[in-house]
This record gives sequence, structure tokens and C-alpha cells, in this order.
Amino acid sequence: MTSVSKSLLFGAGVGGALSRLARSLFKNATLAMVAIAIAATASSAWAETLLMPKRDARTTAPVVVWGVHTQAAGTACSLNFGDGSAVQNCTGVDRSYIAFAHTYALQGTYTATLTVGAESATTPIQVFDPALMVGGIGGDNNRSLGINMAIQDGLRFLWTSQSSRAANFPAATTTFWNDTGFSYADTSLVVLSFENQGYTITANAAPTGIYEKYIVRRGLNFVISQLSTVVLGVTPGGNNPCAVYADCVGLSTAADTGYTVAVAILPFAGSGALAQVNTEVAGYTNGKTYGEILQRLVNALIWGQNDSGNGQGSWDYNFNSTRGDGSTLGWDTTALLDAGASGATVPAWVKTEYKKGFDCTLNTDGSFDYVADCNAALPNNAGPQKVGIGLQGLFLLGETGARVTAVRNNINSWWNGAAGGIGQNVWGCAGPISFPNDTNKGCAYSMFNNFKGLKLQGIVTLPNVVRPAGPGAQPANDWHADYQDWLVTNQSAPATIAGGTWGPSMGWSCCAIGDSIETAIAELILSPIALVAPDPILFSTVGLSPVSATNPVGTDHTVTAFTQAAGGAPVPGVTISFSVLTGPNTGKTGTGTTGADGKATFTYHDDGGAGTDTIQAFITLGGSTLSSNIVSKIWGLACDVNNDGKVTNTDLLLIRAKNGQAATGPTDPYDANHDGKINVADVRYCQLRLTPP
Amino acid sequence: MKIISRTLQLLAVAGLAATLLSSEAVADPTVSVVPTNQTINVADPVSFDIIVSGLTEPVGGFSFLLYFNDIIVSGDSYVNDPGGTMGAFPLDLSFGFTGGSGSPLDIFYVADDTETQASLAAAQGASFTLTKVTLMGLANGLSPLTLTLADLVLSNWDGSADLEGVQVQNGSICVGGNCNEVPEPATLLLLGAALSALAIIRRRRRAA
Repeated sequence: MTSVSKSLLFGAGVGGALSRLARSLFKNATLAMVAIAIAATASSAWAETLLMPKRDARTTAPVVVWGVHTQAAGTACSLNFGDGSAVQNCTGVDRSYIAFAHTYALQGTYTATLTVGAESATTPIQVFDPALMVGGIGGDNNRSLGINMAIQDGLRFLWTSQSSRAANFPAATTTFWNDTGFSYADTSLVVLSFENQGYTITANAAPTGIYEKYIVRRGLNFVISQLSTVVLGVTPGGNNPCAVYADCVGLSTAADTGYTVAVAILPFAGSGALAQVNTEVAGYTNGKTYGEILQRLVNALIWGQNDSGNGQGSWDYNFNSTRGDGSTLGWDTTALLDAGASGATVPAWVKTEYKKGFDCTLNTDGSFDYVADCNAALPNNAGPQKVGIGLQGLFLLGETGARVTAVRNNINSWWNGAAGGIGQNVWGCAGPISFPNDTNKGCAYSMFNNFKGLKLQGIVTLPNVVRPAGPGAQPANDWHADYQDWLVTNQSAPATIAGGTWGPSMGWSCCAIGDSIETAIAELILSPIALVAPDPILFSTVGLSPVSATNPVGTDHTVTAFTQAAGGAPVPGVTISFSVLTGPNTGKTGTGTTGADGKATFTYHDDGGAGTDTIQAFITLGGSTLSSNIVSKIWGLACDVNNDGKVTNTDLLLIRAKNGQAATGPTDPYDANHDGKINVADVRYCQLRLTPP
Repeated sequence: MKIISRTLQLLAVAGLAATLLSSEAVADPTVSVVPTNQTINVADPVSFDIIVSGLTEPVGGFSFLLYFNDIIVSGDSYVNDPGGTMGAFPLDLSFGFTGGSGSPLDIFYVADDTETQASLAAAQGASFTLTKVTLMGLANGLSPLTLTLADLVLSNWDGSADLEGVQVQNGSICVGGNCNEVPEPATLLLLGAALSALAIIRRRRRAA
């Protein structure tokens, strides 16, 4: 009883408030027992023990098993790996990161348990023996396992690299990272990297997962805490911000607004929780939704667009300049794409102005100027690091053709170093790879721009990648597979409790390095999402179509996946995996990336003969898999209910004989129009499909 | 003058009630027995139409069951689409009268497969006769003529869907002329409204 009341008296948050109540109640001895009862109830709700999300491991290497707890330091603590090995004593260990590396000897699914005081938490660990996997050590399954593990260890590193992690855990309502001196920008990218791996909060519901509660929620709070209001003015073109919000107020960051506002937009666009109301950060944004915060950031950005000079329609380090800064334009392009995909409003005039600035920055050879000079024939301090911005901008403008090809060729020319590069190479990329060969892999900024641009443009291969096909369905010269291979190979000590970063093997940009920012970029590149994640509910209900269809045996069938934000805005740049789950073509798979309309298609050939296939689409994130609705495909001639290869009056009579019956299911051939009923409409439907004599 | 005025008031009230009662039927396709009620003698034939009205799109096929009391009347003949609105070579898959002359009459009729949405719409308009039916009087008594929504389907022109919101209006045949018909609810309501109006007018007249 003594220890209970002590921990409560010095707790924080809800426990702290109730302990103050308890203290006052203790003044009255007759109420002491009542106070203990109230406080004890609050304590069990506040204190918690959490383990890492479920993860994968190999029998051939250690895996870091870790968790946290919010009980008093010194509370008895133990970690059980779940495989019969010795239980680890973690009493007295930093409660914000209790971690042990352990090797599981045998393949299987194990339940790790962290016990602290009277509480415990569990998480499953799926352990694979690569030699026993389908395809073996060199197979696609083992490769995918390696990518998953890299994602999981990278996110764990980002957990460890929170600034003042131990001191701020768990009570602080914010958390941040600061590699570059712009903590809100670094934090924005780190939070987006968690969101794009599936760790998002649910609007207006208390998050419970370790990443959702302590990284995403608190990271977003930190970004909000760094925002301030800015009064927006009417542009020379007459665009009035007060028509959007009557107070004419936008939200802005403190410095280098031209790109840091853009970066701050990203985690809100990617939150998947635009209805979430900010209740934890005081000030102007308190009581406002993430959707409104996002829109006010977007408004500050678009009203900060340059109005004159060579940089008209572009952005400089600070708003409303005449200078068009190439890298700043890159971040603003990303922000406009992400904001649009999340459903934020970007007026048409922004894109009209944008094209002026973009055209003054993109060169004929596909390179991208450091500063816009409106001379497409003359690269202006361009470099390989920014080339990918060109593809993003052309995607934003909806342009295809020669300029896309030029940028693609330019990216291709720098893929494996400086030799043969098109145009200028005047900027290095701080990091372990020496100039002039720090053009791509190992330069986080290059990789990020290339990843987004190539993915949005639907470009799958580049000749200079020089990567053989496979394993699995990877085509030869698959640039994204090349990035994945490089990142898995170059992650630093992922099997150690301090490892998981890409910092030692990467530089960030010309002018900065940072383990956290580089790890965040690596996580974003390893995600199947170029911009933001689609709404999981819409994807699970209407994500795949047509719901049912009938084709002749031995022909092709195409299904279309549709990714959209909660409000219906299409989400481009999402890699979709398709799979035939059951039926004569079971096991056929494919992938596609959603275009500007949010759609990706999968076409396969019926090799299995007559029957009914069921098909589903998936978006595989590090933290979860989004699954579409399941659709069906009937292989056979529509209306050929007697399966004789033609539609005749005999089929019509057979359907007639079932008049008035309910369909046996969505694939009942007698229900030709798929309305669930067999009746005269089905006969009419099939009469119009009679096989010509 | 007062008598005329009172009559006009009565008609106005009754007309409003009729409008309210019938307003829903105007909005949806309605399949009706026309004429609704007829009287014949034993051994006499009687004909009536099954008519669809209120169409806003053409019909590519229709099916229904028409129930009657086959002790009172017997099936004699039927003609589907007597107006020829569904093309020169329609597909008639009707089973006809059960057992040759009994109830129900099972109709299943599909338009000519060369007919288009436009040609069907032009031929059918908002209303056309689905089937003309002839029955014979067998014995004195009242036979209902009943269409049920569960058995009635109007296909749209290409069979991709059923027409929605279809209503029915049934009828009856009195054989022998001595049928004690029970007033239908709508008739009762009309009568009630008229009587109420009459009572109100009388009360006002007394007060004046």
C-alpha cells in the first residue's frame, strides 16, 4: 500500500491529477481508503507496458525484442522471448527502451512477453528459416522477409533516436528529431515515414499502439506546436485567401518557410485522420482539426508562391520572393501532391502559376536548376540530386512525352555514379560516398526525389540499373528493386539494439547528414506508397472492381484497383499487389502502381479452364496490410448455362425454368445480370447475347 | 344557388381526397386489370386487359402470374402484347393457364432481340397492354383477378435490371350478377371524406 500511494502521488498526467486529489483526501483519515480506491483505479488505466509491434525474424541472425513501460523505475521487470530460453531481467533498465537481441533457433511463431510489476504485454514474432522457405535463401520470399525486417529495424532506430527520449517518456505530449537544425522539418519526415508504413492514428480515438501513441501522435503535436499564424494577402492575380477562411489566416513555420511549410504539410496529409481535433497543443490550433491545420498550411504555401521574376510561380527559401529555388520547388511539389492526394484544396490557379516557375527551372536535358533562370538550354548549377523533382513536377502538371523522357534519361545517366552523367554535377552529397560519385544510391536526397518521380510516372525499369531479373516477378533493371537491395544491404547493424539506421552509409544532401533523417527517407522509399496512404475502409469496400464478370474460357480478364482518400480524392503512386485467391487460376499474381486517377490494373489470362476465380488486391505496409474487397470472375460464356460453348434458346429456356428463384450467389450463371434474382430480365439479358447461328 | 355551392364544395373535398389517394400511383409503373370489375353470366366470355402505365423507360420483357377462382371462371385464351409493341419476333415463354384452363395464368414474354431501346420506347410510350385475357363464366360467384408483386417483373430494355417501384391494381369478375362486393378501403376513405365534408357544411349552415 505504501508503494502504491507513493507512485500515485508523484505520477503525471491523469495519475498526477488524481494523486493530488488523493493527497487532499488523505487529510481526512476517514476518507483515506476511498482515496486509495480512486487512485488505484486511475493508476491501472494510466500505467502501461507495451511491446514492439509484431515483427519478423530469421533463424540465422539475432533479432531485437523490445518494449517500454510507464511504471516507476525499479519496478520488477522481465522479458521472456517465448522459446524456452532464459528470461531476461530488465529491472532498472531505461523504461523508454527495454531491448535485448536474441536468436531464435527454430522456425515458428513465438510470443514474447514483457512483464513489469503486475502488468505484462505480448507480441508475436514470426521466425523463418531461410533454407526452409519457398524459393530458399535466394528466393523472393526470403528477399521480401529481408525488406520487412529492414523496415522494422529502421522504425525501431527512429524510436531510439527521439530527442531526449528517456526524459520525455512517457509524460511529454510531444516528441521530435533534430538532425538538420530544423526540428519540425525532420520530425515531419520521420512521422510521415511511420504513417506510410501503416502506423496511423484513428481520428478522435485514443491511440494504443506504441508507435501510434508515442511517435505519430506526439510527433504531430510537436509539428503543431511549432506552427504560427500568418495573415495572407490577396495575390496580384486577385486570389483572395479570405474567401477560404474569413480570418485570412494561414499557418506557417518559423524559418525557411518556402520549404519547411511544405515539409510540415506532409505528416498531416499522410495522417489518415483529418477529422482529428487537436486537444493537446495550446494556442490558435487548439480545437482545430488536422484537416483545417493542413488546409491552412497549404494556404500559407500557395499564397507564398512567388508573383514575379524568373521565380514566378516557384518558391524561394522564404515566401513571396522573385527567386525560384530548385530544391525548395521540389519540396513544394511534394507538398502539393501529398495535399491533393489527401483531399486538401489546391486551387487551379496555383498550378497555372506553378508551371511558369517549373518551366523556368527544368532544362531540356532533364536537369533541374539550382536557381530558376528561364533558360532551358542552360543548366544553372544543376546536379543529379534534384533531377527526380522534374518527374514529380511533370506528374503534377499532368504532362507526358518528351520532357518526361528527358528527365528519365537524365536519372538513368547518374544511376551508378558520375560516369556518363548528363549535364552538370556540381553538388556533392555529404556522406561516405565521395564526390563525384555520390549521385544516387547513398545520397538520401537523390534517392527520395528519384523514388517519388519514377514511381509517380509509372517507370519500372532503367537501362543503367544493370540488375538481373528476379527473384520472383522483378523484371531486369527494376530500379525500385535495386534501391531495396541497396537499402537492405547497407542498413547499419540491424540485429543490435543500437542499430537499424542508414546513417553511416548515407548522406542526406549537399549540406547535411543525419541518422534519423536518412533513416526516415529509407523508410519512405521502402514503403509501397509514393505520397500518402489511401483510406483503408474505402479500399476494403470498393477498392477492386468489377465485382463480378464473365468471360469466355481462355481469354484475358482485367481488374482495377482504386485508391482514394477518405473524402474521395484519388491517391496516386501506391503499389498494389493482386492475387487470385481461389478458382482455376489460383496463385496468379501481379503488381501495379496507381496513376493520377488513383487506379491500377491487373490483367491475367485464363489458363485454368472454366470455373470461378476470386481476386483480391493488397497494399503491404510495414505495420499492416490493407486488403481490398474480393471480386469474382466466371470463366465461361456468359449465359451459356449448359456449358455447351454457345448461347442458344436452350439456355434461355433453362433460365426460364428457374424463374422466380434467388441466385445461389454472385457467380450463379443463371443470374446473368448479377442482381441476385433469376427472372425475365436475365432471359432478356441473354437473348441479346445469343450466339449467332 | 346554395345547393349548387354545397355540391361544388363536396366535389372539391372528394376530388382532393382522390388526388391524395392516387398521387403515389402516378409516380411508379402500375400494372392494372382493365376494366377493374365486370359482371357476366354463366357460360359467357369476359375479356380484360393487363395494362402497364406510368412508364418512364421501355420494357424489354415481362412476366406475371394472374390468379383467379377457377371454380367461378375458367381460362379461355390470352394474347400477349396485342399492340405489337415488342417487335415482330418476340420470345413467348408463357406457360399459359395451369392445366389448360385453371389458375394462375403464367405469362413470360420477351421482346424481339432486334428491338432497341429507342424502338421499344417509341412503340410503348408511357403505357401499353401487356396481355389481353379472356375467361368464361362457370358458376355464380365473385372471382378476384389478382396480380402479386412477388410474381410480377418488368425488365428494362436490355435485361440489365428490373424496373423498380412497380405497383399493381387488381380486379374481379362477378358471375351471375349477385355478388356482394365489399367496398375497397380507398372507396371507404372517399365516402368518409365526403360524409365528413357534408357534416361540416351542415354544421356551419346551422351556426349561420
